[in-house]
Amino acid sequence: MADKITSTLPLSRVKTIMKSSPDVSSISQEALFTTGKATELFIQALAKFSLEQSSDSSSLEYKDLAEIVNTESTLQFLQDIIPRKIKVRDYYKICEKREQSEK
Amino acid sequence: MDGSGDTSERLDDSYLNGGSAYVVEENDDTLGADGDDEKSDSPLREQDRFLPIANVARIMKKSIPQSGKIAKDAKECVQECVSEFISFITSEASERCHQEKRKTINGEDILFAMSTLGFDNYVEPLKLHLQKYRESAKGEKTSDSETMHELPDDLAQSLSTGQIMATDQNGQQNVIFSFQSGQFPNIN
Repeated sequence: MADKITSTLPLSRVKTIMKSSPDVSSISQEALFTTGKATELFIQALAKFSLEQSSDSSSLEYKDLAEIVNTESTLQFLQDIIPRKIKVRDYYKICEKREQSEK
Repeated sequence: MDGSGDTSERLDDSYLNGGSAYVVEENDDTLGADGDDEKSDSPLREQDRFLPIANVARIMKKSIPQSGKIAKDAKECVQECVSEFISFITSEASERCHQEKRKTINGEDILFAMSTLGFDNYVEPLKLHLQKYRESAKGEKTSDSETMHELPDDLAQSLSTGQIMATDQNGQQNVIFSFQSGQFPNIN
């Protein structure tokens, strides 16, 4: 048995995720294989690229991902998934300002 | 544990968009406040909606220097991004399928979707992988859907700038090929 030492992803799970999209009836094996492979490439690229852009190149943090999602146009679809974090108190300040400007 | 599988469980309320737009719960059209249950909105458990974090983390680790660390919330974040990526590609491919009055999404649809969505630099490597997959599928007449068939040595070497590991099992070559070059196109 080969150790799956590296980068295999469970295609059954990939298929589950694909099928959760609306209006998807069936998916060919090739499509599944291609998507799995593409996903792998995507993960690699995301990790590598975020780390490169990061201020601390030894550690990949959430904020690094949030940052590139806002700067790369191909990653715009992820903006709602990775919002930049702000502290709650800053949010409250923003709310206050909003309320004041609405009055 | 309420197990509602809602993505907002993973990021608590203090995580909000900075900048010009905020995620505000009360205007949450996307969650479909009325009768969401009527749609067959795949009642997937949280673990089914994502790829296993161990696999995701392993792949991430391969692309960064060995000494690099990855924060736990970064791993979880990538895990979610990946599911979103899959859905994103799939719905684009599915749309094309419908336009062409076909029911089954095939490999070409996926490649086309990737190109349309800005991931065209993935297309060439994927085409090569697909070609090899087709050839090996013909040879074996089995489609083992749980393992991925990788590029054999000669092809991988002409592509890769990364590592290649090969294991032989039952006369079948699994070459694991790490794609190191930059993935994102230059955005103007």
